Amino acid sequence: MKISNNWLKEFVDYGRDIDTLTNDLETIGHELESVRPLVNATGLVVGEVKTCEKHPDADKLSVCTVNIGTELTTIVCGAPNVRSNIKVIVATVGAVLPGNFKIGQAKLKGIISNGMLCSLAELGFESKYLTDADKDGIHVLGDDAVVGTNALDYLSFNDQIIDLDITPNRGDMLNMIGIASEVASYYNLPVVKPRVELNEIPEATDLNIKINTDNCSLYAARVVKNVVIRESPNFIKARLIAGGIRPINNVVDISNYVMLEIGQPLHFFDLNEVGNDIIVRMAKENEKITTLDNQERILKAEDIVIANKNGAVALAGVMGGLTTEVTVNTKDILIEAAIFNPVNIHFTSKRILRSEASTRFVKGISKETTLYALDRAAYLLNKYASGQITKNVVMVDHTDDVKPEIIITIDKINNVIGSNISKLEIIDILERLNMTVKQEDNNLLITPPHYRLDLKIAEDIIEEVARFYGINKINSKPLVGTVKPGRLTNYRHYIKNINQFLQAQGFNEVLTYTLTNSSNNQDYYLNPLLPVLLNHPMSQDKTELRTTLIPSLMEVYEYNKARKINDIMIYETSEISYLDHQSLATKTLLTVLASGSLINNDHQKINIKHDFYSLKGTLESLLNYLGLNNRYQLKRDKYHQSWHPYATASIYVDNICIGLIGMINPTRTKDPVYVMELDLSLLQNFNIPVIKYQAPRKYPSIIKDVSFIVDQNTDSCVIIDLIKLSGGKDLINVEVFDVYQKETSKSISYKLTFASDERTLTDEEVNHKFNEIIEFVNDKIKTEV
Amino acid sequence: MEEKLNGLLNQLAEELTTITKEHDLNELKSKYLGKKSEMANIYNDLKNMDVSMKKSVGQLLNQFKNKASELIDAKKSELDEQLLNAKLQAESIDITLPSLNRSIGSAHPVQKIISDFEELFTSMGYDIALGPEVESVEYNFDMLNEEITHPARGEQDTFYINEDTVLRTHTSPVQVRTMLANKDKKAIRVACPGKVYRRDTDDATHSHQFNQLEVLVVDKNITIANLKDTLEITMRHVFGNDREIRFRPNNFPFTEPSYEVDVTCFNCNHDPKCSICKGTGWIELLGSGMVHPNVLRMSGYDPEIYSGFAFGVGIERITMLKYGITDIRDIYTNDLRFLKQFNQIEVQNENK
Repeated sequence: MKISNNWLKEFVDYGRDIDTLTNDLETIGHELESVRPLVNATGLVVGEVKTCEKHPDADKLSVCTVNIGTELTTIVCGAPNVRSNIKVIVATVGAVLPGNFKIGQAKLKGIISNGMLCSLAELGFESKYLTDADKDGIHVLGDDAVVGTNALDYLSFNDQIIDLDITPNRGDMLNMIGIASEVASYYNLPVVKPRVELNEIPEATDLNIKINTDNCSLYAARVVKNVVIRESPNFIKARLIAGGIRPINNVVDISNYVMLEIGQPLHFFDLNEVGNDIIVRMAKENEKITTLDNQERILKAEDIVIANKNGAVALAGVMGGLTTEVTVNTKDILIEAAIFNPVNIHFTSKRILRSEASTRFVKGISKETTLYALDRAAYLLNKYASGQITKNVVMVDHTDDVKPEIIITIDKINNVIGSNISKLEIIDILERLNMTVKQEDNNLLITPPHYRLDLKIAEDIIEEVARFYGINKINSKPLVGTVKPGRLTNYRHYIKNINQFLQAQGFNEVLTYTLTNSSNNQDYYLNPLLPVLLNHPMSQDKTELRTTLIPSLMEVYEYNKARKINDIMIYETSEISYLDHQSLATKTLLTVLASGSLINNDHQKINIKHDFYSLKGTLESLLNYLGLNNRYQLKRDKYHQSWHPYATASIYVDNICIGLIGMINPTRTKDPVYVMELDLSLLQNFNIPVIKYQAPRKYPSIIKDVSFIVDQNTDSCVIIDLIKLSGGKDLINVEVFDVYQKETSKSISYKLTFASDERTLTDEEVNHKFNEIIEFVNDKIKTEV
Repeated sequence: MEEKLNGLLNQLAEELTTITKEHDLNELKSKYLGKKSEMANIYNDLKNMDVSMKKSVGQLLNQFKNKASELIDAKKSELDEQLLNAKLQAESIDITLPSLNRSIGSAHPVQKIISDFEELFTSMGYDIALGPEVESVEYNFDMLNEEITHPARGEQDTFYINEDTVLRTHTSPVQVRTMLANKDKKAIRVACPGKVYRRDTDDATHSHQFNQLEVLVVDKNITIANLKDTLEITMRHVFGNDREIRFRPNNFPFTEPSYEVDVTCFNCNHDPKCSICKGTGWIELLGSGMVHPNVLRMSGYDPEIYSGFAFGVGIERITMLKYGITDIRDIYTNDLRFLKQFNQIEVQNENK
């Protein structure tokens, strides 16, 4: 809300400097956006152009003799509308215009100019506030301007604008009276309300109003006849501009002026166009109206309209209709002051146009405000547009006159705040805020002022007391109550451990965006999860929620790779949301990416690059760490073409697939990139054993080596499975220790460890078992030993 | 005889000083103690001596043998030591050459702050609670007392999935979920971290995705003074022991009264050029308030019996302030040169 300081002072003479005022407003919850002068300029005086002749050497320049009060001086001016015998704004030598533009004596094509004649644009006004005449040239002042005096004073531009951020609950502060009341309450000062003296003519107001909907609780109207349309007085124009509204003419300006002043948006109809029969009703679905911006609007049943016999003439609370608009030819005016259902106005304005008016209707307005604004507008039309006010207001009133009291105790107030504020002080605060306070036993019965529609419950009253008492005077007090240990969720506990593990392994945690596009979501899986789509995406690259983290990590890889960072070890854990048979489901993924060197030291000639086996190592140690020792295995499957088809595997735990690990298809990346993505929600569900100590085996073990020559495509684990199957209880471990590739076959060497918990095994029995195993393997699979 | 043997010993000692190799030492040993040595000759002569002579010469010979062996063994140890030293010296390395270094990976700074908060609040008896990122309009808005006309509900500010479902715009729905899940309507202390989404265009200070931590306490007799105490503990934990806070009245649908919370600037002492507080001495930090009775009531808590406070803090905001990050987009870019600056331990702020 932009507040004219001059206007505010007219209603409350607050007697402090502006910084004190804004600081105090901030402590009671009104955040200051800025304080700035309406016109940031000095040295502007009223001048009169005495003579005006063409510049001898420049077609577009005029040489003027200007009376600036103290002297007659020569000023060269380039405006097309400069002429003799007009009063103008003169920036004298030494003046400073907005943008710290200093005016000095200047020579223009040989003629010395002692200053500048100003347009309003040169005073810093945006063109939206200017009339067409003002857009094209210098501003011409009225004849009543006194030569030599301050031009800003004459124009009512000598003002400060205080821009406050009003919280959504304080609709009452979207007008000058509301602001003044708040200031007056805080400083305990009176508010001087604007005058309303109605000189009604004897003719009775001839209107017939009907409300055919529940969504309009009050519709009041007056008629003002024979208005004279002209420019508004300077103070009205200046205050509208200060409030961010463009001046049009005296009649239109008065409706806006009253809205800024009192908070009630008004609508003025041309009475002769709209007629005397007014109906407020809901729009018919697909009903049409041409609004005053000359656009045809197709309405919905949720819109409220004002109609006459011929149909809708205004979109209630949002915009007037073109046919009944006030024009330069308008003589008689119907002033509408009404209260509409905020919810309807919210949705209609959201669809059609948000405006100063609709915003105020959505916040809500009191009946007292509405009727006051109606009379105030009539008064101003009489005063500044020479209108004649017919006798009486015509209205239909469905407002509820009973105002419920808010009941609260002093104890309750202090109990919520944690304070010890006296009854006297509390009542004083409430009464300063114009609340009516009755005392009944321990209870305070409070009726808020009509304009404070936000005060409904006891807590609202507590807030008001705390606000004016000064919440920062309250001392902090520790919580008391039962002490119990706080607990991470199982999920956060799990993630915390995984984080520790991966970071210790050298992986850096990344944080990336959830929103992605559909091609990313389909990029790494043959059967991607069904994504959750946004209703109205902001951009084409963020249309749905990711179902895999791999594209996000690949993007981080590409980013770093492009910056010559080659050794990349990253991971992310994140919840993902997706659709499972139409219903929303979530799970948590862990995705790990590795590329470049795992460990490197050139002078030692050590450079271990990431490969499938290094990432597999990370996977296995992680699964061991997560208590799943000996329960996992990798299996081959078919994969999306983004993966290397022969260097990718599915990860199984207890025969349930929990993710995949592999090399990104080398055609897609500069360097080899290895990625694994695990479903942590599945992993977390596996039962893991409690740690139970077992004494180390007492008896020595015997190790036997054997090599098998097998077909190129035989996986090493096939033989391990066979060895284990035939190994008996004394075979305690089997592992691969060498692989030797031949032309179409390969030789795999295994180390078998035998030991017993009960005794020392003899060479004889181990050799016997060893030979049995070899026979068994040879039996089952085509090998050479 | 005694003189002779002493003479031999002296001779041996003298010769030992010139020995530098093990081979020479062995030769010397056989020269003095071997079969052809002077000592061996004397031994051979023993059988020709009478008994008393035999006894005294025998003793002298034994003494000689022991002493000579001692001298030779000492030299042997000396040579061994020299040999080992020479060997080790040959293995001397340049200790200033680069190491075979595997540095630890880093937690993302945002996660560091979340973990730190989790630790702080669990230490104070709060449970951690989580909720879904795709949330119902009912939990995200309705049950938090956000009226249908509230601007935050608009499609301009919120990512809608359909008319009943949104990407949650704050972690506050976890308040509702926590209260509803508490069937016995017991006292609650929870801290709820998580991702939230707003329909903002990304720039240096806005991100369509960020993290929040929601803190909710519900019990009998909870006061604004309790809220203030908890906020002081929290802010001092993050920004240091000397921090003070102040409330500025504001309006949020889910709390009444509602307060913006500012903390005293940790970067300056009212320096008008301070890039963080712009010379005001205060940093705007978070929104807080007393849980609105409608919110309590809708979640099954009787506001006549229970009251509560809640606050929600932006994790990225804290992260940026704490580490001096000026562009929120850097947090989501994951440049490794950014991430690796966070892989070290940090000193804990002491509690006042």
